[in-house]
Amino acid sequence: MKMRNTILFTLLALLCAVLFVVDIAVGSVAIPLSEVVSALMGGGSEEVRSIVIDIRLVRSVVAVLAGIALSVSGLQMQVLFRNPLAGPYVLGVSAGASFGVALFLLGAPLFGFALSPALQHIGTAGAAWIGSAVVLLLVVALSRRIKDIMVMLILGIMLSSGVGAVVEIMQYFSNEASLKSYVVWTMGSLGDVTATQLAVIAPVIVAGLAMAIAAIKPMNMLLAGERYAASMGLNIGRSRNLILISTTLLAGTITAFCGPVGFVGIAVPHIARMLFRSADHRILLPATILSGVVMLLVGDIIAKYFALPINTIMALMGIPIVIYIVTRRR
Amino acid sequence: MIQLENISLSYGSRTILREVSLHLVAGEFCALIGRNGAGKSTLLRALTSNGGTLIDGSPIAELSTEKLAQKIAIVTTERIRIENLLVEDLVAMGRAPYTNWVGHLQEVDRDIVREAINAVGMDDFVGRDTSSLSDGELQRVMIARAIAQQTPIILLDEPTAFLDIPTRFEVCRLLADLAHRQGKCILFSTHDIDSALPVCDSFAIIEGATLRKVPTAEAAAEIERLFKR
Repeated sequence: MKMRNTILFTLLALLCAVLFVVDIAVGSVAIPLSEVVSALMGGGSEEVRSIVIDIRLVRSVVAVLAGIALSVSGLQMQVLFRNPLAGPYVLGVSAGASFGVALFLLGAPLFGFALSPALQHIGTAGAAWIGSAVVLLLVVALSRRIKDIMVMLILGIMLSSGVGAVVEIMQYFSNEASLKSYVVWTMGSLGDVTATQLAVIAPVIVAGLAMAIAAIKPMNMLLAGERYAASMGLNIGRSRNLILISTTLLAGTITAFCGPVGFVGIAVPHIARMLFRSADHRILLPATILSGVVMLLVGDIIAKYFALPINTIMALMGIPIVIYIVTRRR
Repeated sequence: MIQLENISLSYGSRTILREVSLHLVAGEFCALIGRNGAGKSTLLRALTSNGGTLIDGSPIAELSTEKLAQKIAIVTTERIRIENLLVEDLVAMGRAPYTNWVGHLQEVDRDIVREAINAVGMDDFVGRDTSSLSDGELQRVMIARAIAQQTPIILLDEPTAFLDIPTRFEVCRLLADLAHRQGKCILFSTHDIDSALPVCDSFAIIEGATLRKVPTAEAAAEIERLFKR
């Protein structure tokens, strides 16, 4: 089993490296692979270097970080809720982000504020982040009172539906331009993130990931349920908060800057479980990270090739996996 | 070993147990008997969470979660069937109070896990997926997990429920053996009087919000009277 895991990890890591280079090589301007590699090494023309380093490399790094963040937060949610269909969005993190963005993009024109393109870009990310954080604080506050994790799950779904209804009302009263900005944001994009924004995203994702690593033992114990985990010495409240904060840092940040990218969080942990045939999070966490990176890079290559929004590609890739999960034991 | 002193337990506005006391000593194998809803599971929960519970004279409220996990192990009625979780991994969870921050098992931990699996007669199931086990097999594995936790006290909530008659007797004999040979203090709730009577040292009987402990010799008559009402 150890040998099998080592081979799988090596193959996945190699696949990630190959896909990373291919993702940089693919774009609207055709650049030969040799020139792409040369530009990455600091050579080639100024124009090619600018495209490869400033635009494509940033986008590919964002794809890698999004793959890691969304899939790890999905893994954490599935363990915390003991539900194979849980993902970062069931808690309402995405709904909170959408509400924040809707308030900003749709609400500002309604109140007579004109948004410059720069302010619109920064404001959208900030509003999504604040929206996610507000939802997280609400969830943490509720989880202190409500011990039943299934009730929390249902509250997350209800919260999402409620927020969705309010956003629809705002859409109804909005003008065409702000409505378009909002709809484009909901489609998700990895290409709108700048190098400066990446410098903000990366440390937050690293912090969220560090928390996820610290939660490896709690997640293994939580497989047996909260009562057993507590009887084996786990501080349930502290562990739950650690996982919730990690999830929001990971999923909230990606949603803030790239828009809501669905299905990665639900599908990728199951791919990792199927590949590695393990329930041990010391194996599953790195397996999920690598599988998440592969899925996002493949999705981004397809998205760039066909000029489609990343959210659509992820849904088309993720839905068959979710259907398989739901139906395979029937 | 473990005791409750004049504790009252309520469920909502309903008082389930009123000023009850219970003393159990090391090596004692005690069955907790009572009608459905009498408060057996509530009492077992209270023993791990009520501030009034004393272990070797010290209140459990003074113990950290980690320290308490080294004193009391539990087996609930919940069946843990998780795909890709192997029997030895589930039993190894019992080592959690003793392992580092990622749960790394030392060689000594692996030996304890192997011994625990051996103690419940599940050696042939070590590499089996827990999702493929029967109720009886899974119950043995959960008991092995509690053994691997190496606590002086084990509390079990209806460990013989859903098992066939021969397996019920086997589980009871296994628990009695653990108490008598390893000096563990074991309390388990049950409706299965026939399996418990031949092997238990004492019976704790819940009746009308009261709790009284009787030796096995007097238990049969007491239980007969309780269930005839």
